[in-house]
Amino acid sequence: MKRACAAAAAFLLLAPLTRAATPAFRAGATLSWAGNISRTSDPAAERDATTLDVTAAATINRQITRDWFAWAAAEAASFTDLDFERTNHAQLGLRGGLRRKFGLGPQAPMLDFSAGLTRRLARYGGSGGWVADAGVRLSKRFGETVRLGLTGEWQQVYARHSTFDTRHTQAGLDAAWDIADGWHLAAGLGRLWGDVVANATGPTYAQALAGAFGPSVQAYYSAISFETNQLYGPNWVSYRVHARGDSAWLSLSYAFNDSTSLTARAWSIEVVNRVGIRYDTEIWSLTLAHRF
Amino acid sequence: MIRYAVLLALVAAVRAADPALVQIALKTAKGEPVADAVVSLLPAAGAVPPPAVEAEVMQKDEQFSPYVTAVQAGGRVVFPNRDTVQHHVYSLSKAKKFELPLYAPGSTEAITFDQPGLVTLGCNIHDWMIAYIVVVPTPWFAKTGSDGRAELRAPAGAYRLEVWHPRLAAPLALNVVLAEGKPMSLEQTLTLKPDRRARRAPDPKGPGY
Repeated sequence: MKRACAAAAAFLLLAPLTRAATPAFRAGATLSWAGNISRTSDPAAERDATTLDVTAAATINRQITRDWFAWAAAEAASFTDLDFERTNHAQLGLRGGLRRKFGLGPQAPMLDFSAGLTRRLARYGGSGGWVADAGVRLSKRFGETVRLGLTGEWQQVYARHSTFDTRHTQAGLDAAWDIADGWHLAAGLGRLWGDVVANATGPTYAQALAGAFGPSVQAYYSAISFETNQLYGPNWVSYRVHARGDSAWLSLSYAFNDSTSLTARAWSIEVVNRVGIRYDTEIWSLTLAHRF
Repeated sequence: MIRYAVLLALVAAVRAADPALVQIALKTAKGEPVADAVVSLLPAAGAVPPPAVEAEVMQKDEQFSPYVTAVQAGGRVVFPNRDTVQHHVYSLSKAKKFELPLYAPGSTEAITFDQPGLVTLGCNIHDWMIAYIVVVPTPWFAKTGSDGRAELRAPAGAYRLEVWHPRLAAPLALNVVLAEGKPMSLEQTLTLKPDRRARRAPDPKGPGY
């Protein structure tokens, strides 16, 4: 029922836009190195990986009234983990949004609402399914070179296996600075509340269930959804925890021209689950983005 | 004899109507030519003829073209949307405030620019789109090309020669006296500010969880 409602909402949002002008196409490729991609609490068992994300999207836009602007996009993405191929997946989705601009010009504040529905096709079927998300963003340019933004996002995953059924909410603050012709610096801070899928080796998880890490961990880990799926090696276990995450990122990009840019980004997130277990992850990436 | 007299009279009449020539070359302190600078001659005295030409600023590939346009006060500028997407052309400038919202592909509207001054154009959908219309109170103006050069022809007399460029650090004006048959060549070095325009290049989506 939820899926049908989401699909109907997406259709209602996108249908009027199909009369709009020619779609604009963009594509990107990101090569990343992820430290503790396995989101493991035991430092000795952490798994690092090199990953490749490829994305493509077609977007149509339409100004509805003087101040309101709508857009819709069809998106495709693939994620390839060069070290742990069972986590590979592809995504196909539809996304739509509304923008309210409060005034004229680049410095006018903007309020953006967006929603998306994505089909996730995963190498490990249990993590595949549907992803629904919605977001709101308030942004404003200050002067000619600085932009600040506040973002709120909600995401719900309807996965084939309950371990991957997650729901979380995020809030973020970001700033961007056009340093010089072609050079662009951006940074952001964020906080997440909700479900996170973490992983552990089979023996470690067995110890948690047996009470080796204390009664609260034992009670919590016995109650949550988990499964042995070998995502990061033989007998590895995935489990879903309720957590809070604090993230920070910094990026520097260079625009070769109006259509192509290269971005280097560092990203760190510290996640703490309900019983105090930490999963810290860091990602270093390089993205080539092109608009056709 | 009469034929010669008529011929001489015609030559004299043509010479009297011949405008004086000013050739100007603009460059930066590094010696690079300055394109898209508007050079105008404002007569020290006397009336100026009314505007005769209409200019065009089109929207194509989500950019305005040309980047800089000069028109005489009272002149019209047409804004054809030759793109495949909508635009929302606007100006917040004192010299001319206007808006063309919901401006669909194929639309063409004309605006008359009555007041001299600078008009900065933007698109409220595509923030990186920017262009300038320099409205001058004279029919004697020109825009420098990629070689930084421009030529103006005006009747002999005293003028104030003004130079404008989007990145010009300080106004530049000179008093000049044009004389028939004596082309004037000027070379000026301009100090330009950094080019600060809203970024258009694609931004990859920020990290998510």
